[in-house]
Amino acid sequence: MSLALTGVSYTYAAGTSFATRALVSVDVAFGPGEVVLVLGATGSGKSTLLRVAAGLLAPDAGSVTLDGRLVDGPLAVVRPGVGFVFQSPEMQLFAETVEVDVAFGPRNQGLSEDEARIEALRALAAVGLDAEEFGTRSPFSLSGGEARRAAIAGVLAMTPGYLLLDEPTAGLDLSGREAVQAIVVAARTRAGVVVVTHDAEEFLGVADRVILLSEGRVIFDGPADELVQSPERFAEAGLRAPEILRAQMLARDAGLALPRFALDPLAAAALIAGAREGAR
Amino acid sequence: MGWTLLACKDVDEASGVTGMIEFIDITFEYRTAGGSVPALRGVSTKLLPGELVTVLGPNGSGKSTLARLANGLLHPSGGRVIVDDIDSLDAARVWDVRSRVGLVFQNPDNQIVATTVEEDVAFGPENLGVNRPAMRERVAGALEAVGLAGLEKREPHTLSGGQKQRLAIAGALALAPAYLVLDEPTAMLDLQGRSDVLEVLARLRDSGTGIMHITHHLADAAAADRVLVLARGSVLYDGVPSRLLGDSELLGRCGLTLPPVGRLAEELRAAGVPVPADALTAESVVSAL
Repeated sequence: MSLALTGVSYTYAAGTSFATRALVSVDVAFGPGEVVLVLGATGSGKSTLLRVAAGLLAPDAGSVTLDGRLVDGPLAVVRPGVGFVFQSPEMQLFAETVEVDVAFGPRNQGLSEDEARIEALRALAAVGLDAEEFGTRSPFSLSGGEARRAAIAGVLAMTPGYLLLDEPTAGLDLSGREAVQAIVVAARTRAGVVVVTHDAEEFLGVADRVILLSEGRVIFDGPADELVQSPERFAEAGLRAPEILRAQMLARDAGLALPRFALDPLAAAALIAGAREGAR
Repeated sequence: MGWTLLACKDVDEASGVTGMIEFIDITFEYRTAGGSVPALRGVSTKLLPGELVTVLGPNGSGKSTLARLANGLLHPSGGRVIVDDIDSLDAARVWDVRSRVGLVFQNPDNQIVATTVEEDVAFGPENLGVNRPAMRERVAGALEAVGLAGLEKREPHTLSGGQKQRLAIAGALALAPAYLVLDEPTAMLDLQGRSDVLEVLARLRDSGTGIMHITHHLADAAAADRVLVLARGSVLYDGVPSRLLGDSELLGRCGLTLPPVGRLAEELRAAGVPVPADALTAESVVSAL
């Protein structure tokens, strides 16, 4: 069971002078029950990767398989299995009430009104929006964080086996970002979750695996902790390592013998304090 | 007169006016079909030349409204906005206000209009009828200020996100504003793009521009002279960053938490390492070790 890209290449405006190679021979697979973080500088191919995985773009070369089935036909073949949360998805809210908006997807999938309503209520609960309080509100009366969560609920209501999110926390305040993180963690129990982000720090702690993209190629694909232990890999992808890891790299450069790196501030402080003791 | 910006500055210097943007007891309501929604409820603050103020607060706290009030894009429902002694409600002088206060928004793609970098920066001054030699100077100066000199002929779509946002800032700078108000300019950028933009803001502050930087990243506050925290349209904190950053109870009340590196600094402080309270960068933490 996986959503797998094999030898996938994609070029925008191929054959013209504006041709831009976005993906070059990419092999990646996403499994159920894991949170995979896709990191890379602007223009590294992150969003293209998601679009190809979702079947929104057909690769120039290579193939996409969903749980073993080749996915090369019309979008409808892919979509029941793969949910895509675009950047700023709240821009796409449209219905008169939150509940009707969230039920739109399952209704389109052929569910009856009652069945769709059950899925909508379940999805609203999954994103932490109380259906009593928010179900009858206009989506346009919601705060930024609430609207983002309602939009994600609209995708969850279609019970995708794989959930792809493109910059899900961009533009949100702290409480909104925490709510979206919680959604990602909770979604893992029902789906494979892929998060494209430029805020590595926010999701590194909850990710099982990280994929680093640079100029359309995968330059790292491994456990999140492997990347944490070798933060110089960020620079290879044209990225800055999270500040807490940079602090530990600088401390090591300054001569402190840190045995390992930690994402957690408490653990990092203990490592640094321990190394200072050892240096005396 | 209004748009001969450099002349405006001379006048101010000649008359001995020390300018600032002053928000005096501002209230603002958005009118909707169902009534009105208060966005600001009695906000008083100011922005001085050569000062970098970071504005924080949750979604819906009134940050963006404050930005739009600063240059007369919106007018207050109550209270007054005074820009270098000009009331933003003075319809005859609206362009004087706008030429003094540059605005930069979140998404650079929505702010770039031309097909080359230099033409994009020239768009503003060209519209104001600035003559060619002066314009060349302004474009060169603006690109230099944001670190994009040498990329004059590049097509904007080939720039990275951080470069595009710095281009948008250069476009605002070409109008020679005394103040620059930026509404989440780093929200769509990666860490490198973010730190490049922050560096540009610090440099502009050093050269005398008053900067109001609206952001969701508490870490950005470390580089500020002053931090303004808004919640539900009111001011929760207006003061130096170190006091806010060193007070976790106050941070909590403001709905903010320290980023991981700030919590590392806090833990090290607790362990007796003299890390300053406003240390929110790897460098500032490690230099204390």
